[in-house]
Amino acid sequence: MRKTELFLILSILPLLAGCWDERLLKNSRTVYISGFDLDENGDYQTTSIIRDMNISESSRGEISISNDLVTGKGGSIKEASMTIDQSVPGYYDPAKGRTLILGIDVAKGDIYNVLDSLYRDPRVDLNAKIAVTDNSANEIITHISENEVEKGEYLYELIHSSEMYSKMQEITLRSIRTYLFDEGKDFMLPYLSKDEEDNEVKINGAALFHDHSFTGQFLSPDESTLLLLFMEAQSKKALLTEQLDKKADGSVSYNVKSVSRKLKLEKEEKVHADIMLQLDVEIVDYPPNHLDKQEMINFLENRLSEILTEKADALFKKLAANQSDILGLGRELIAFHPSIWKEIKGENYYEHILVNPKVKVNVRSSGIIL
Amino acid sequence: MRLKRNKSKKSLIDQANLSIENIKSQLNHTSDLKDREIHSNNQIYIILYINSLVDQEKLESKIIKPLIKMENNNILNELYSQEISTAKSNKIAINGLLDGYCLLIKKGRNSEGFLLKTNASTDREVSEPIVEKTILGAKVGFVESLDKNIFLLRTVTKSPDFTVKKYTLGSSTTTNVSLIYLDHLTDPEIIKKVEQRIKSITLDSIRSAGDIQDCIEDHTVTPFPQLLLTERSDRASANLKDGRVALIIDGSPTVIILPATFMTFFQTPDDYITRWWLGSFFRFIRLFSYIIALILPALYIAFVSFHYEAIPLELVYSLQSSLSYVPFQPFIELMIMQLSLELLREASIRLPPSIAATFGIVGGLVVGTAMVEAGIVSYGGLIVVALTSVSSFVQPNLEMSSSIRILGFPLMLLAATFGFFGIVIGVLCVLIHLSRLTSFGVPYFSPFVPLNIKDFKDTIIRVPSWMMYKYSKNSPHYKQEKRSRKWKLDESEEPY
Amino acid sequence: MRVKSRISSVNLFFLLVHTMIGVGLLSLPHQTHDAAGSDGWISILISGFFIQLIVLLIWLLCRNFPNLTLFDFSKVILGETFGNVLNFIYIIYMLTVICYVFIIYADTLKRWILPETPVWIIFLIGFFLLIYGCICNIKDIVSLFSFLFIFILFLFFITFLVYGYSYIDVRYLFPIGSSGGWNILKSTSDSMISFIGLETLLIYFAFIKQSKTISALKGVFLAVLFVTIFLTYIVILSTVMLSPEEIKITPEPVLYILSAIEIRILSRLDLIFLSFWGLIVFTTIISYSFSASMGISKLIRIKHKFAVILSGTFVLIVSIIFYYMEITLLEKWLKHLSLIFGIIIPILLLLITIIFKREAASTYEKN
Repeated sequence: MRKTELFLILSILPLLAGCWDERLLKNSRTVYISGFDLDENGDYQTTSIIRDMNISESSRGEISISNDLVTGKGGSIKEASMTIDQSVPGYYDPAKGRTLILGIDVAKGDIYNVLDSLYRDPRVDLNAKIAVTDNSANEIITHISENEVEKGEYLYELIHSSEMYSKMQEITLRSIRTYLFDEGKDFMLPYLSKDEEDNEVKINGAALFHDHSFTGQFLSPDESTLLLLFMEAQSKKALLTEQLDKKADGSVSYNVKSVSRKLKLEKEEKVHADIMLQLDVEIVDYPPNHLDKQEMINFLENRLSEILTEKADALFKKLAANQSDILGLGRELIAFHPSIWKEIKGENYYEHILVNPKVKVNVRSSGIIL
Repeated sequence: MRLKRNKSKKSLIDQANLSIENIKSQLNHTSDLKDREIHSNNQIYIILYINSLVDQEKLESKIIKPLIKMENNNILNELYSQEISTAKSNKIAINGLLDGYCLLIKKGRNSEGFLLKTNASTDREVSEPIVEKTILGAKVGFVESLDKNIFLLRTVTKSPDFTVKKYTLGSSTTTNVSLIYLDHLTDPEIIKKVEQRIKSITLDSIRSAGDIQDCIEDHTVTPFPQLLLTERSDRASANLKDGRVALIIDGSPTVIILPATFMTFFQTPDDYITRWWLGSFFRFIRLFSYIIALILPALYIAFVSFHYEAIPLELVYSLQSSLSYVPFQPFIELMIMQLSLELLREASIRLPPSIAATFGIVGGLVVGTAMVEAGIVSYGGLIVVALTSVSSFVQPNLEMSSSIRILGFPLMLLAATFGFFGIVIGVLCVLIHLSRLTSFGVPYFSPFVPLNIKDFKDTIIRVPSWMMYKYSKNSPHYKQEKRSRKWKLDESEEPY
Repeated sequence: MRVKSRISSVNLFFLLVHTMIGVGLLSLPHQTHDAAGSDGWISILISGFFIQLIVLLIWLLCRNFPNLTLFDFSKVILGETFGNVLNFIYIIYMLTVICYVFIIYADTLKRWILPETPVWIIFLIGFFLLIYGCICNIKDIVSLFSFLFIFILFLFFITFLVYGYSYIDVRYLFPIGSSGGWNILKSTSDSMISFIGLETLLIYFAFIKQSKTISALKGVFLAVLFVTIFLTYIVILSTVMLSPEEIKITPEPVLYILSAIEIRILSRLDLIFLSFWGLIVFTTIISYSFSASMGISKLIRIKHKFAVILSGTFVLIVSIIFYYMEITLLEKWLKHLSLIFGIIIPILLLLITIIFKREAASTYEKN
């Protein structure tokens, strides 16, 4: 027994000579942001900001960190990153990239073509955020690399905070694949654009997707918040402001505390989806009046319900026009009404669905004053 | 030549007849062997003793004086020695002399002698042991005298079941060893095993507790100690009360406690003095620090050279910036650090305490920072090594903490080769090994292996003492009454 | 050749759970989805129920031969020659299972964490661990397994972290039964393979105290129940987290799901899962090779130690050959083989025992 143990230990030792999979941290050039574009020839262009280190010769080998912009072209995303790898000291490592930007040309095509190579690598950070830009990704990233303030995690934090305020759907590299491979669900991505006046990158709204590609339309942040409420997918904060009257000072801001949705699907000529949404809200800003009387509360509730129902109508018309089933009605049909689904299934099933939204607002609280 | 002489001596020892000449020649006419003739009451007595081992005062007042004044020839009644035994053979007589007895022989009747206890004791003051410090608790440590150690144990373990068994070990120089246990608590199987193993020791001489440990432990090819060595009498006594056996070696303040399981090494007397949740917390910290010390360097290597995508981005950046000018692989880097730390550790043991403090600062702080500044190691590596060594110092037992060092290097090597997978392989090997170890038949890694949740209450956590109403599986004979907090029931009252 | 060590019913629970939960865990949701769509979990439940019945049958068979393993009582039932033939086939089957586990394990490791490491290195490490883990008696194995059970629970708890993320869509489970009853039933034969490990019961029953009483079965029933629940949970989790089309292209859904989970200090939870899973797989290997080596040592009368080395060497060579020749037949075969060896042969043996009234007593004089 003892001899065997010793034998085993000794014979394992020579195995330890090679370190096949070693990838030293000090040699890697980690990526902050990557962007993907499609040029006229059908080649993909990858643009990345990498973190590079320069050991200065002078004071005690101190290290200065610089962010470098690198680009590479290739017939596929992988080939493009290989081109980058050859131009970078150390090795180009896109695994830690936290933000991915899709140029408009890429987004209008099948976006899975771009993402495929990422899914095949076990080391890729699947929590990366994805955004679409109204221009080429290269331009946005070039802009970011030049602007000192927006380096690094800026874009990630931007998208993250808009998710926190229920302005955007929470989508990561991981969850986007679920949508891409789901016949009954679509999604929306943050729609970035460069604001020429302020010279900074902003989120303009939510880009609507149908199947694997961008429809070209996008929702305003308010619309997307409403849509998220309909999906019961809002974050902890969902702040909305409505103009009660045409008068300038008649606005109210409220925070949606909780949502309950009733969904009824019926097959008539078309598939009718009656959605009844109950919102429990907290009034956070309402200068014109006070909520000390029940009538006032009732008025506010009715008025808000009216406005929101109207807005929801418009919203769903917009979705219908783009056939973007972000609400996941198709999945709802598959799961609970398979017979209806069988009749309408196909790529453009959303044509057959007519959404009839209704919103009911309940004021539950108004802060520490009435 | 020498062998021959030994042989002839051996035959002399075995000779049945007690003869002063024989004894003298067997002891090589050593010059501290003295004899004295005393004429008393028409009889000639010869007292034989080894000068250096005998308490002169005792000999004079307790033996010689009464012997001279003796009126009848009844030695057993007249002498003041506390222990008198008869010695009928040379062997017994010599052993007695070497233990500090004096041999009293009536001239003319060579066949019989008396052994009278006159040994000098060189007891030092009982003091707190340096190695096993505690915050609270008894400041009593064992000393070098066997009898005194038994005395120390008995005073805190008063029980009629306190049993002492004496053995004389060693074939050329002898050492007395005492086996101590509480009869009603200890598994007779274990006692039987211990006795058997002690009896089978045929070493020439016993140098220290380590010699006995080598001979009686179950497994020798293992970094894990299976016997607990302690210098604290309260620790030994607590272990006796848990149904373990203590082995005291004459001339050594180190007492062997057995059987010791893995968790035994994480208990300290402190745990039982502080309140139970505090004791449990500290014990948990110790266990945690053991694991940290074992795998932290390996984890560092795995993360930095294999899976850096698994650590948070901010950490990656800060590690990367200090790593980038280190010319070595993380494994080599850590090895350099570990080795220099071992050097520091070894060096500081030999230094007098006043210098050691300065040395620690120079060695630890100055060399550490200089190494980082010079780009030999990174800050990350430095932190890992420092944490590892601090964690290993947390261990209450020296031998257990050295097992970390022995196991740590292979784990680091595995991590440097296979990354995370290597650590898993290493840990699995350690677990398989641990699950097979036994200490005197008791599973070493209990209560984890075999899994026994009930035994957790005095191993991983320390539950309040009134809850330990049943001792662990190894001492099934004993049940503590469950009543210590019964007053709570009597005192409790309804709120209205 | 009566066995000496005794294990309890609880020990049998650990043995069986560790033998059954193993290499199939990662790809199970993918496989059941291929066979039964979103109703994979139903087919797991059904096959779990079937397995309970089969356990009962195996017990009925083994209780006729207390203290005798399959390798002993096969000779009683079939006679010396045919018994030895059956033993030989069983040994080969068990070794094949280990090869299969080796290959899948190495392949998964290669794809997820060690892409560059040569496969034979991984096999070699497996070989060493196999030998190191198996040269001992059954008590050691049991006590090791009972400790490693904590890691199975860990695997369980790691998956709880998933719920912090909002990817879950319960609708993926619906409509229940969409694949049709017949399809689900058919797919149970596929999901049976995830309960592979059952056939070691034929050996372990011999070690149990009082194998005649029904209490001996308790541990086994609980083990099968535990495995069923665990696997069902894993399948449901993957179904809920991933869309149906997505599971089809994801061979290891559980790992994929976990790799997206980020706790504060660790971004790749799949590494943790994979390493704990690695421990669990080795227990499967140890359990199988212990049984196989026992058969070998009984068949050709050599010491257990040499039998272990022999089986380890066999596994090492065969899996290297299979891996580098890219023989993928193993998986297909195994699906049928496990049915034959785990279910059909025990039933046949039981029938023969009942019809011809074979009893253990007749062999005592022989041995």
